[in-house]
Amino acid sequence: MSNINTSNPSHSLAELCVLSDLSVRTVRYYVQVGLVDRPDGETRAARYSNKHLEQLLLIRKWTSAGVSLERIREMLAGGDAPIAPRPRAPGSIEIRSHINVADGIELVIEPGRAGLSPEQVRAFLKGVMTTYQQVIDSTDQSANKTGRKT
Amino acid sequence: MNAIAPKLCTTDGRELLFEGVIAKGDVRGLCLNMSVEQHFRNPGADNVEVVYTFPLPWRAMLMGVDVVLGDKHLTGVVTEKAKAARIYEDTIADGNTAIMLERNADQSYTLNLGNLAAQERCVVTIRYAQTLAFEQGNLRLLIPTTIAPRYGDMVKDGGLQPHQTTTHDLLAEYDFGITLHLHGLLARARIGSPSHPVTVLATEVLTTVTLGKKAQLDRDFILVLDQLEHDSMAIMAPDFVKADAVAVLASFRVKLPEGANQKVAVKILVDCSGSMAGDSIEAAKRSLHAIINQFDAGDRFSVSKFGNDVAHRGRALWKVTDATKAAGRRWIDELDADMGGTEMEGALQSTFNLAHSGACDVLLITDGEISAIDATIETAKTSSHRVFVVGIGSSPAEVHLRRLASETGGACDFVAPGEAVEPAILRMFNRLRSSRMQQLALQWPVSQKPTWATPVNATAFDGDTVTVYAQFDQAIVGDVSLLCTPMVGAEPIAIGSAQLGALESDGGTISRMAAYAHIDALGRIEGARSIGLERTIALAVAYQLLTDQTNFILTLERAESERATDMPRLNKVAQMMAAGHSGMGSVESSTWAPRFRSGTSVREPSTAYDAPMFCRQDFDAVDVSAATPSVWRTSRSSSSDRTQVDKKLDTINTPQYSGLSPMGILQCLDGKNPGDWPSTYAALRKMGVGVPIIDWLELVVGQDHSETEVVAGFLAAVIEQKFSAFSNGVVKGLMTLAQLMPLQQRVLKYLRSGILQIDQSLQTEIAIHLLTPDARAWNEVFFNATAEFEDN
Repeated sequence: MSNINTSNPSHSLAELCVLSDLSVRTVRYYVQVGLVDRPDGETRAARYSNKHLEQLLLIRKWTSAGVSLERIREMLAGGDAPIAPRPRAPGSIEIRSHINVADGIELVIEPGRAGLSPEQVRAFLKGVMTTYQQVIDSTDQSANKTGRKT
Repeated sequence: MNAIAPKLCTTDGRELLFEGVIAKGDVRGLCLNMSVEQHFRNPGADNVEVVYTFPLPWRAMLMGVDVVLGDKHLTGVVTEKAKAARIYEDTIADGNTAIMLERNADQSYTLNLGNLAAQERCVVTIRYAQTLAFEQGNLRLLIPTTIAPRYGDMVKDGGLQPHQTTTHDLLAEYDFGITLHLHGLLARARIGSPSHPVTVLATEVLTTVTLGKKAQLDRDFILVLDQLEHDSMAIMAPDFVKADAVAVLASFRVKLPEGANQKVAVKILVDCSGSMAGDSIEAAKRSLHAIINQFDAGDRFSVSKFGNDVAHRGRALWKVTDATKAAGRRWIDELDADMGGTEMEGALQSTFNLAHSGACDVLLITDGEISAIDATIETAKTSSHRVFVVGIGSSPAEVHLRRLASETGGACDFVAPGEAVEPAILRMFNRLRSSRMQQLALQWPVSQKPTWATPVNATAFDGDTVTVYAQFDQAIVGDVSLLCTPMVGAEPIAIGSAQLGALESDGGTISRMAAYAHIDALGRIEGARSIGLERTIALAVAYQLLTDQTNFILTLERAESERATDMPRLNKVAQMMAAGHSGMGSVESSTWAPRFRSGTSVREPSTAYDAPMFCRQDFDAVDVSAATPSVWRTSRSSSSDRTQVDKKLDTINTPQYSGLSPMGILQCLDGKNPGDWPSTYAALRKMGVGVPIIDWLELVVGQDHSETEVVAGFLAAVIEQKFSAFSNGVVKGLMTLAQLMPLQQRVLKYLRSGILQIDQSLQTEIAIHLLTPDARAWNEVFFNATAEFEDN
């Protein structure tokens, strides 16, 4: 959309809604969540160009096709993540580390995809185990306190 | 000591605007009046717009909204939706403040609070009322607090506008407090909460229930009152709008004639989608065991599960026998929440299509977390089935499930994590076994005709409540009765009756609730949406009711210097993840044990129905599942000392049957001593014989013979069958000839060693049903015909 001429005649919000066949609230919502660029000027003085209209029409087309707003955000951003992850080929081997943190809690790490070095994995695991221990200790302490009270 | 002020933050460190909810309620007579304070604070330096979508209970009616913004007390009005939206947008655009409350397409509510200035506080108090429905001496109050993630597109399937959709934050924590006052007879009921630890302070006339410990908005608050004496009741109150007119609320406790203990035919459908993982699937399994325990001889049932797809255990209904109950229990024990999404509509349609004769119901066990509920209800309504629902989880989609049950003539009950399932299942079976009441009608006092009355339910169940509203031009006296016709042509009989008392002044609550129910009924009548739109909007505005066509709107014009000069930053309040949803932690395993929880008589899942020990020694090591038998890899204890066999077994894979062919069975038995052959159904299953054949052997043939006899008869039938190598053409026959004949001869030699005790007539019966001259196929007639053990 970089080749869109932003010096087109400007529209008020109401006009933009008529042209895009969307409600004022929906257009404003798209602006607020960053799917559509903010207008020139604020509140009642806000003006919208054909660039905004183009964005809205694209969003309308994609939402009616069932594309989620998060995905549309990526597509509008242009190239960041429109490519679906490459499907893993049948027969490809993926090795995962299953690290037992405690009974019933397991960390699953596929180092190739996670991009973590062994040192980073160790640091990560240490953090997880420390946090787990803190949660258990604090629960035990509060249980002991309750027990003493009763 | 360093004093650090506590603050709420989002995952990315931003401070939260929503601080939590404090609810207060009074339960008096037939009515619950709740007042829910929602606390917001803008901790930032910019003006923001807060959007918070939240649930209210089924058929709750919004009575009013009070707002305290900073130190200003504000009130608003209910007006037509488009007009309210226009006012809201204009107010925001002018830099002023507006608060708009909408009822969404899925009957959730969205609060829009625009231009909350920096550091400003706002408390929105939502007041709602709900008519209580007693269920067989019980009352279950449910205060929903969060909306769990739902399967499907909230905008496209659920009809929400983009800003009304919900998001979830795993780390969000919002405080929740509640105080309930129970008045009059309700104060003497036995009280318990399966959802929260509660403190109960009771006197003869007032019982106060508060939370026993700090709670959060992550699960429904449930209060169960039982051992209640309740009877039919009729209340008359002045109309809110029309002078002299009155509104009547008639609540009937249905009493059906004695002896209505019908045999049931029920198709059970269980949600095994990912959202059911953890507590929910365990509660579902406990419920299913309780359901199986309720079946008696003469009942019929089927079991199916669904997620992305639906999987039926049989092709039609089973007659209830010990064997079919055992098969059902075994199927339940193997359930897991591993079927992906929640394609409920397709699953229901497929279940409706299962063969049955006569009246049949569906019993659905689910958390109801789907967006496409309208389409699902429409599909269910076109079937001839009533849908009964057991809602599972700490925050099931109550409104969805009650609508589905109500609009198909069924009923709905709920089971929270850790709650005993038996009472709910018992209630459900009481309803299923009730006579189907025909042509329910109201009889008002003689010569009294209402201006309008809400339609009576299509069905009524013994001990449950039927509520009707009506409006009259003036006060009336006398009795109002609920009539039904037990069968076509019979005289109507009264199944509930109440006497109208004196006119009660209640501030318009009953009148507004009546108008709300009237508008709802008009909306459900085919075509009324377009024909009566103006009428329903006018009614809603006159009675100040928040409906599909009206919004609550409140505006505050600020001083010039206080007005916002830019579009507010959006702050959408993320929902707390429902406790235990998708297996994220377990509510059941928490240390707190709910009151009322009774020892369950449901059998713990066990391996008793899997392979017995002696069979496991033989066949457990065989990596051949019943569904996809493939290759015999090892046999730990084979008498022939064969430890590694790479022989390809002959199997069949069709929609009707997946498993070993007769020839595959011969291959399995080859080289093994008859003492090591399977002697149980479980062992046959382990060996790779397909489910339909084992079902037939177990559930039909096994009714008159022992398990060992049936399995031996089956194996003998296969081994002694006169197979023709050329039954499937000359070329294939030549290929088969070299393989089949020597194989059968070898196995036959073992059979004739006399170790197995064979019942010849049983062997013949099995051979006639299952076998043909083709060793690589089963008798098609067996699969094409409706099996004997199924409904016919």
